[in-house]
Formats: sequence, C-alpha cells, structure tokens
Amino acid sequence: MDENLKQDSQLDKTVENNIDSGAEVETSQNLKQETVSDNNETKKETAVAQNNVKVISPGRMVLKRFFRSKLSIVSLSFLVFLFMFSFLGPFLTSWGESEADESPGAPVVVQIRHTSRTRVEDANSVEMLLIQMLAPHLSDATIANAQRALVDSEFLANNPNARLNNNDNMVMLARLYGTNSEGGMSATGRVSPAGGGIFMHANPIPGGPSITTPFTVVVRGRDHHIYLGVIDEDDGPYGTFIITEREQIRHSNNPRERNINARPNANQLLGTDRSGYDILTRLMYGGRISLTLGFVSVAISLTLGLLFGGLAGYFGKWVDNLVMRVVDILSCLPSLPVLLIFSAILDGMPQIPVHLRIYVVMGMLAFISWHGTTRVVRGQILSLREQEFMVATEALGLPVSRRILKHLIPNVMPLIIVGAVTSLGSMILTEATLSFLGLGVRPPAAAWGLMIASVRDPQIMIQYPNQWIPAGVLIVMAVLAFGFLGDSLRDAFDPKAKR
Amino acid sequence: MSDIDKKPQEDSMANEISQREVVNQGKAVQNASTSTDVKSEAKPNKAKKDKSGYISGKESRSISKENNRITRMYEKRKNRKNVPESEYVTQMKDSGNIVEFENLHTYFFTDAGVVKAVNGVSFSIPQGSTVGVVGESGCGKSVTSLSLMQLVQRPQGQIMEGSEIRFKSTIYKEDEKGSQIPIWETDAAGNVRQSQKLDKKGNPILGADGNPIMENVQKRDHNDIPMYETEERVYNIAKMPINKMRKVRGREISMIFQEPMTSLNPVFRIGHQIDEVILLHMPGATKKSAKNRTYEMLRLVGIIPEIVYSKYPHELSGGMRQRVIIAMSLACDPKLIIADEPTTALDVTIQAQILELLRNVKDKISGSIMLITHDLGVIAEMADFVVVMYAGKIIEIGTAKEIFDNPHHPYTIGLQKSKPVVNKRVDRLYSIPGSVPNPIGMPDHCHFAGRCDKKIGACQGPYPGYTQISPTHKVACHLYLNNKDNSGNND
Amino acid sequence: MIKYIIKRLLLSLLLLFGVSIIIYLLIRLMPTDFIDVMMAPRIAGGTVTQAQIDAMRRFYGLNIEHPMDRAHNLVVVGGWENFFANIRSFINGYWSWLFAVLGGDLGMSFMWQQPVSTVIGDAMWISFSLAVVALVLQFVIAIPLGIYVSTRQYSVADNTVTVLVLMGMSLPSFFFGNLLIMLFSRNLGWFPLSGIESGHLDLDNAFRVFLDRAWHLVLPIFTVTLLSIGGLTRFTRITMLEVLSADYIRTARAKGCSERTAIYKHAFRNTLIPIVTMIAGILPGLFGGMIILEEIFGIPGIGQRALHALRSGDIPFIMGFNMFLAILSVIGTLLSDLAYVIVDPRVKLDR
Repeated sequence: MDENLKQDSQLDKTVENNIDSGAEVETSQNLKQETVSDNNETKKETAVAQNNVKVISPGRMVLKRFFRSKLSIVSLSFLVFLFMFSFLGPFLTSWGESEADESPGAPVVVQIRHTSRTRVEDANSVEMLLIQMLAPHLSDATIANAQRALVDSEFLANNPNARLNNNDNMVMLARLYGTNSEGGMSATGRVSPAGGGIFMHANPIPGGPSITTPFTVVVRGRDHHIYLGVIDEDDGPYGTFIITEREQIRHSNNPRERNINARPNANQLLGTDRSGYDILTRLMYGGRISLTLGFVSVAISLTLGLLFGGLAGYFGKWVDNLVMRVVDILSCLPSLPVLLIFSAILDGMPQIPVHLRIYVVMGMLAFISWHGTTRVVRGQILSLREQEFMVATEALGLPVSRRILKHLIPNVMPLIIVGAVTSLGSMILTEATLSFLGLGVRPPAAAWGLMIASVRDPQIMIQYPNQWIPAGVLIVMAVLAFGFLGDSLRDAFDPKAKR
Repeated sequence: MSDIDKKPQEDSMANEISQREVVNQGKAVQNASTSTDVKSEAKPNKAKKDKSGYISGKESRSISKENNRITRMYEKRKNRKNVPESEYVTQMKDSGNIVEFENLHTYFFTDAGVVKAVNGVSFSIPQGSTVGVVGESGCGKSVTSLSLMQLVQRPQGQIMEGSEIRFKSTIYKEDEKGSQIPIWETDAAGNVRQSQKLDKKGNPILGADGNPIMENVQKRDHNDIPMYETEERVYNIAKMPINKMRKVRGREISMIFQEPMTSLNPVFRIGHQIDEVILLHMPGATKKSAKNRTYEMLRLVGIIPEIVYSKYPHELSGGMRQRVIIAMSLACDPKLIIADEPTTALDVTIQAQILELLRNVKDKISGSIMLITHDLGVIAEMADFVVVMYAGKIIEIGTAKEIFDNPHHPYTIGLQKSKPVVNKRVDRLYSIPGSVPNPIGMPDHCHFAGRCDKKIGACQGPYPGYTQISPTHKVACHLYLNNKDNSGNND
Repeated sequence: MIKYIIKRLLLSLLLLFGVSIIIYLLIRLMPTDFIDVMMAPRIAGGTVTQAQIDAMRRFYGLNIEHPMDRAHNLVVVGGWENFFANIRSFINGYWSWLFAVLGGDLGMSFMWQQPVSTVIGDAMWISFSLAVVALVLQFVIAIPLGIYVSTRQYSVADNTVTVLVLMGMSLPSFFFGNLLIMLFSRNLGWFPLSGIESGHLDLDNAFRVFLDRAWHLVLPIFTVTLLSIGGLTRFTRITMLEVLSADYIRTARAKGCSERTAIYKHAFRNTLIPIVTMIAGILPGLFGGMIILEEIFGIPGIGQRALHALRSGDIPFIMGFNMFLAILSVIGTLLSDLAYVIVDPRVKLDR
C-alpha cells in the first residue's frame, strides 16, 4: 500500500474551510499520532457533517404533502364550516327545528305551468286540476269554498254573465262564487309589459250585487300558462289588482294560517317548507343528525373492524377462517333491503321512544358496514405481518402487546384513517337515503334526506326548489369534502408518492 | 474561483496522458448556468439549525419553489419538437471509444433538497472492452447508466447542462424520401441479382408485355431478416430528443436490470417479448424471421428455444429469466450492453453461470459491456477497466490489473480489504467505518474524508483533482495530489 | 382446476346457508302482530283471506303462539323456560322454509297474488336492461378515462377528472335523479316524467315501442351511469398507476418501446386482470334492480316492486327478494374468483 504521505502545508488554491480542524504539518514521525488525532477528528467531523444535513421528518412530510394540494385545504375548511354550521348555527337563528312560522302569511299565488304536451281544453277540468293543486296551500275554509265552486261548476256554462274575454294576449276565465245567480262579475286583464304579472280589472256586471265573499279568478294565458288569484272584499269589488307570483293577498275572514311555503325573505333566509318550518334552521339540525350518525356509525364500525380484523389477521388459522366466513356472509346480505327490514322491525317496536330511535339507526348502519372495515384491516395486517420488520421485532424478543401496539398499529393506522374518512362520506349518503325513504329519523325532526323527500310533490319540485335543493347540495358537498380529505390523506401517507 | 474551465481535460483510458489534473469538479458545476440555483441550495445548510434537525416549513417551501423552477425549465427544453440535428450530433474525442462520458451531472430535485447523484463523472468505454463500475449503494453508478439510456426519472431527475455523453451510433442510411436503403445481393461480377417479383401466393406477377417483372433481391441474413445500409453517427445523448433515443435503446445500447424476477411482463410469453424487440428495431423483419432470430438468441444463452418460447415468465426460475433478459438484450446486436448488478439477486452458483455466459456472449458479438456492481469479485473476473465511484464522483480509475494490484485510493484499498478471504484467519472482519454521507448538501471537501483512515490536513481543503499514476490509472486523492514528479508525458 | 371450482361451489353453498339464516332471523324478528296489523286492511278489503295468512304463517313457521310478549317471538321475556321453545320454533320454522325454497317455492306474494318467483322473474328483465346498458356505457367511458389520467398524474386533466369523479360518487341518487327530472322533464320537457311507456302508443310497431322505451329510459340510464363512473375511473387509475411503476414497464422502455406501446400494450394488459375480475363480480348484481331510482323514475322493475312490497308488508315477497339478492351476490363472488383464475396466467391452483 502506498504510504505516500509527503505533505505540503501549502495549498495553492483558495480554500473555504467549513470545519475548524487544526491540522498541522506533520513529519513521518508524527504520522501515527496524526492518524490517531485524525481519527478523533474524523469522528467529530462525521458527527458534525451529519448534523449539518437536514431531512424532513416523516410527520412533517405527511403534512406537507397534505397541504400541498389546494383541494385538501378547501375540503378541510369546508368541513370545519359544516361543523360550525350544524352545531353552532342553531344558536344563531331565531327558529327552532320544528317551530312553525305562525305569522299571518297567506298562501302565495301559485304559478302553475303545464307542459305543452298536456293541453288543457276543458274549462271544467282546468278548475278541478287547479283546485287540487291549490289544496295543500289553502286553509280549510278556502278549500271548502273552492269545493263548493266545484260543485257549481256549471255556473259558467249556464250563466251568461260570466264570459270569456279576449283581451290583448290573454284569455281569461272568471269564476265566481258566493253570489246569487243573478249577479256576476266580469274581469278583464292583460299581461304586464315586463311580464311581471297580470293586471286584472274586475268589473261588476251592471245590476249585479257587490262581492260579499272572496272569489277565485282563474286566468289562462295564451301561452297556456294558468294563473289564478284570490280577490276578497278588502280589495274592493272594483279596481286593478296585480297578481304576481309573490303577491300576498290577505284573507281577512280566513283563520290564521301558517306561513307555509314562503319564499326566501329576511326572516327565513331560505324560506319555509310546507309545514311552516324555517328551512335554514332545519338544514342545520339535519346537519347535526347526518354528522353525528356518520361519526358514531363509523366509530362503531371501525372499532369492530379493528378488533375482528386484527384478531383474524394476527392470529390466523381457525380464528381467521371463522371471522372471514362471518364477514363473507355479512357481505352477501343486500344492504338496502336489509336496512328496510330493520326499519320495519323498528316500527313494530313501539316501546322504543322516538329519541332513542336515532341510536338504533346508528347501530343499523354500523352493522351494515363493519364487514368492509374488517376485511381491509385483516388484509393490511396479513401483509404487514410477513414483512421483515415484524419478524425483526419478534427476533428482538419484544412482548406481543408491544409488537402490536408500537409496531403493527402505526403501520395500519394510515389505511384505517383514510378508510374511516371515506366511509364517513358514504355513511352520510346512506343516512340520507334512509331518511329519504322515510325510515331514518321521523318528522318533525329534521334530516337532509327528509327535506329532499318533499320533492315527491311536483308542486314543490318546480315551484319551490329552495325547499329541497339546498339539502341535496349540502349532502353532495359534505360527501365530496370527505372524499377529498380521504384522497389527500391517502396521497400524503403514501411513502412511494412520486413527489 | 471563477476562471477554471468548465470542461476538465478528458482522458481516454487507452491514451497516454500524463497531465496532472487540478480540476475541482465541484467548482466546475458552480460555474455552469445553473450555478445560482445550486448556490441557493447551499444556503439552507448554513441557515439556523433547527433544533430537531428537520427542515423548517419555510425552507422546504423555498426548496420546492426552486425545484419547480429548474425542472420546468428543463422539461420545456426537453419537450421541444423538431430539434435540429446539429444540437446533438457531435464527434468522439477518440474513435476507439464507443461511449465517452464527459462531466456528467445528473441531479434529482427532491423535497429535501438537490441530490447530486452523479456529480462530475468522466470516463470512456472503448470498443470491445468490459468496463466495470464499482461502488457502494448510492454512489451513483446506476444513475450513470440510466443517464446513458435517458431513463432517469423525470421531472425530478435531470441531466444538467454542461454534461456530455457521446455515443457512436450506427444508424440506417436514409435516402431522400426518408426510407432505408437496402443492401442488394450481387453476383460474382458485381451486378445486382434479380429475381421474379412474386405475389402473395408465390406466383410471379406479369408485366404489361406478358413477361414476369424482375426486381432486385435484397440481401438477407441467416435468419431471413433483410439487411440495409448503415452509417456511423456520433450522438450526444445528453441533448438527444426522446424519439431519436428510442431508436438507440434496445438496438444499440441494451440494458440488463437487477431484478430478473420482475423485469419481464407476466402476461406475455417469453418468445413474444423477445420478438417484440426485433420487430421494433429491425426494418423488414417479419414474425417468422423474428422468431428465427429469437430462437438463435435463446440458444446463445443456453436455453432450449422450443420449450421456453411459449412459456410465461413465472414458469421459469430466476436464473433462466435473467438468461432470457440477456437474450432479449442481444437480439438486435447492440454495441453496448449495460448490466446493472445482473447477478446480485441470484445465488452464487447461478451467478457464476451468468457471468460465464456474459463473457462468452461478449466475445461472440464483439460489443462492449458496462458492468455495474458492488462485488469486487465479479469485477476481477470480467472487467478490463475499472471505475471506482464514491458519492457521485469517480475516485479511482484504471485497468483491472492496476486497480487490483496497485490500488491507490484509500476507499479502493478498503474495499479490497473488506472482502473476506476464504483461507485467511482474522479476529475481526474488516469494514470501512462510517457510512456514505447524505447526498443532499454534500460538503465541498473530499467526500470520503470522514471515513478515511489516511486522512491528512489537506483533506479538509477543496475536493482533490486527479492524479495520473500511469497512462491509464488516475486517482482523486490528496495523498497523491501534489506529487508533481509523477507526471508522465503530456498529451 | 375442476377441484378448485368444486371447492368454491361448496363454499358458496355454505355462504348461502349462512345468509339464509340471517335473513330468516330478521323476518322472525318482525313482530307477529305486525303481520296481523299489516294484513288487517287487506282482510277487510277482501284481497287476502285469513286462511291465506295462516298458510303463510305456517310456511314461515310463524304460527307458534306465545303467552308471552306477542310482539317478539324471539325475545326472552320472563323466564328461560320459553327460551328453548323459542329456539325450537325457530329451527323448525327455518327447516320447513328452507326445504320449500330448495324446491323452488319462494312463497306466494300477497300483493300480486302470484308466486314470488314469477313476480321476480317478470320484473327483473326491465331492471336488467336498464342496468346492462348503464354498465356498458360506464366501462366505455371510465376505462379510457382512467388510463388517460393515470399517465398524467398531477396535471390539470388529472385534477379535474378527480374532482368530477368524486362529485359523481357523492351525489345521492335520489337527489340527482330528481334534479334531472326537474330540469329536463318539467322545465324543458325533453323527456317524459316517468314510466317506461307512453300511453297512446301503437303497440304493434315494435320499433316504435323500442324507441319509445329508450326515450323513457334516457334519464335513468344517464343518472346511473354518471353516479357509477366515478368508482370505475378511480379503480382503473389506481391500478394503472401501480402497474406503471412496475419493473417490466421500465424494461419495455429500455427496449425502445414508445410510451404509447408501453402504456397501451404492456401496462393495460396487466390492468385488465383486476377489471375483468370486477366485471364478473358485478354481472349478477345487474338483475337486482335499483330500488330508489326505479321509484323516482317510475320504472316497473324489480326494485320498485320490492319497495311496494315492503311498504305494504308483503312478507313472502320480501323474503323471496332478499334471498334472490343474496343468491345473486354469492354467484357474483364465485364468478369473480373464477374469472381471476382464468385471466391471470400467474395464478396457480394447487394451493
């Protein structure tokens, strides 16, 4: 070996010294000493050199990768907002969950449209159709009156005083009730230039009596849109009435009604539903239900999954076999039908009070989903168990509990967390489906699915989208946010990610 | 510091150069166009030390920003279409070489900083020789070979500006229309032979006058694959566009990877996978002629083709799979075979067989092999020249005899001492103390200094340049640096 | 190979056995006077006779009277001595029911006054046609999409598709379906509101009937496809990503294959394996119908019938339907296992 150790103390380049060393010029005699001191220096150098270089800690790496994507930040903030909305929001609104707005609002004029396919030719049939649709929104007295008018529907045919008027771009039918057969009213009107409503002018037929009771005006526009309004004595027998969608005409002799189906206004930011409840507040309470159900069900399912999956994966052999057979059987059960049967069973158990019902629903949801978690946990543990680090811990003589708790579980956790977050999303969907079918929470409690269920009434579907669309939007966004969160977490935890 | 040449003097192994190199490789890079980036990378190391030893959020953000800027610049350049040939066609410094690496820098831009995987590597591979590249895990030998194939993982990994990888390629000559020029069969007098033009069924096609049309007969090799005219061209792989590179990969440079168990596609049969290479690169090859060639290749590597051709990879053992991969790499008569730790995953007995196979094969095809390994024994058996790498740089280079009989660098010496000898009795097996330094933010002095048992004061100084010990033997170590008397004749 | 099939078949039978026990347990948990309560209006209305109800009870083994809490046959109230009686009745009831089922008799539906199997058989084809078209559309769209984004990870296209796909998976089917109805049927009038047939149709012209039916089914198919594309795209993407990072893709590139060949030939063939396995698993489920969608769109498929049955307490149908679904599910698992063995050349069967 070359021991070419002729050293120059001169160095002919400029040097940037990073480390203070204190080496000297040595001769061959000092060689050995120098080597020794060099070794010490080496050790110090190595130590310092290794401290000089920094790496990113694993935890920070995960966080960094997580926050790198804007999507995850957005979804996280949305979820925070959702929580605050659901749990703190109700303190800020003035309405309760099932508190009906008893303010003296009247049924709003309804704009009914028929599609061009269903051409309404028959005047009588128009009235019947309209009165049916009106029925849920009118008070009993009004309905009774209208029904009486229905009975009198030959009135128009028989009574020459009520007539069709062609005026401008409108054809009008006017129907009266509450007058005697000698009196009558005619009404003319036209569509307002801006399309904001129908101006109606009601004229007494000369010689006829004044109006003593409210009468219904049915108007069919030439575009086949049907408009109607109710005019009562307070408005006077003559005059010009503007009937628009948002007209609120008071019925003075009608009993107090609830402010049902109100449009969004200052008092109720999203309006009210058909029982007069404030929609925004119900959204908040619905959020409470969804989130709570989701979390508790996922927590139960997760615990069961960890327990059984862990047992199956870790101990193997007959334990594994047994657990996996049970899991297989459960996974073959059709989930929705079984849930429906569960609900039917619940219905038949009257001794379960309403407020406990929600916990039973949570249990049902957990029962349906725990087999998935078990399978995932078991798979992960099986693959981890054979990896060398587990064998190494065994070789080191670590006790079983320590092996499981300190080595196995932290490697299983990322997958579990990701799975939990994603299943939160699907749990919210399931809960919404259940309440849509009427099997989850019962009215008057609020749930998002329940609010969407009001869409069965075609009136509400078209006329009052403010009643059901917000709930759906919230569901979509909540599930979406959980989904993004789960995705971002999975990417963040993955050590083999490209970036 | 700023007036040192970008390109240090290039040595060819076969030449007699006796200059003493005083090039500081690290400084050379700092002068390159990306020096600013590199300098800013140096800052975090000197910044306030985080108590936990981890990079703070601010630092990591600045690193990411810097990384993105650089990689985007490189990617844009790479993704240009229609790069003019003049940019990547060049000349070899020594026509006896098939590959010349010059000042190769391949960096990876990671979240924790810039990893200088290959940090100034220059060497050449002469025609018909075996060059062994030795070093520990992480010293950059694999990345060097990947750079040669342009297989470095983009966008994080980039071959930096100023690197040159010259490769002597044999391309098919193209006529004005862009198609290959066939080699015609000639008779004794030198005239082109002609034969009747046949249709698909084998019947001669008749011309307008009722006589069969004659056409030139193209020369075919023993496998019935038609032959075309070729010419030589020297490419700078570092600058070559990817579509041209694809023509080189598999045909002129082929690569054998470390893991034979997973390197073959499990859903395709063996024969199909080898046929694919042939059909891809040899113009005029048909399925039948490709199969012939595949059979020939399989026989060459010692496999019975009739049995193995239609088997799936999982039906073969590890050694057989590696043989298949070798056959696949030979199929198009490559000039250079890169073998990246071909035997590491195999048992010792199979290892010997594979090495024997490689040796035989090399002689038959008159190509070069670049053998990458960390096993000195393999090198001793196979290599003509040896390149010893450490932490991204070449620390010693020479003929196999020189390196084994007369190693200079303490690392090389340590490597040799580390290999246990069968009959020798020792109290304690030797191992080089310490470990490879962290590739991010490597210090400016000799990277081995921390572990070297022959360290001297000069070793904390700047990185040592090359000292020429013999015309073919160079070492980068302060121990020999100022021996001006050692120089031979200048070139 | 044959041995493997037989083994799997036996396992499936075991599974079915277990599932049937659980379903039967659920039915038994339904209170006996639930049946009486549900049936009362029918008896009054004359649609069902008491004799039929008793026959049904016997069919399901529900005809044991208990002096204890009548609401639950299985609840142990007030003493252990009835516990064994409970168990015995359960077991007897189960066996009698099981034998009937094995003989092909799934009971007599109340609502439709027909054997349950007939009712299911009639209605399932409509659901199947809806589901199968949606399935084909799904695959045709989702698989190429998944491959496309897997090659462009982190790009704009990748992120957009991820967002859209996730959105598709987050939509509740009932919400989205109703939204579409509101937009397209009521407001725009492009599609019919519900049902699968228009009233005034010339039923002799088969082509017109077909067109009319297709027109009715556009919205439901659109809904189903949109909601299911997400899962498949993600699955394809993830599988492709895994395959693309494998060693043999690197070999393909080193051989000089173009990126296109490497992806569409080498990588795709490997991703096909899990996808084919998945298809095989889905196929039987297509007969099961979609309860909610059929209800919203008014499609007279098997899901709609199931919902009506549940609401009206048609217990035989509920039982039969659940068993039907369970059988489908078990067949699906079996098919997917078999497909995996057939498609992947690496799988060895001599475990």
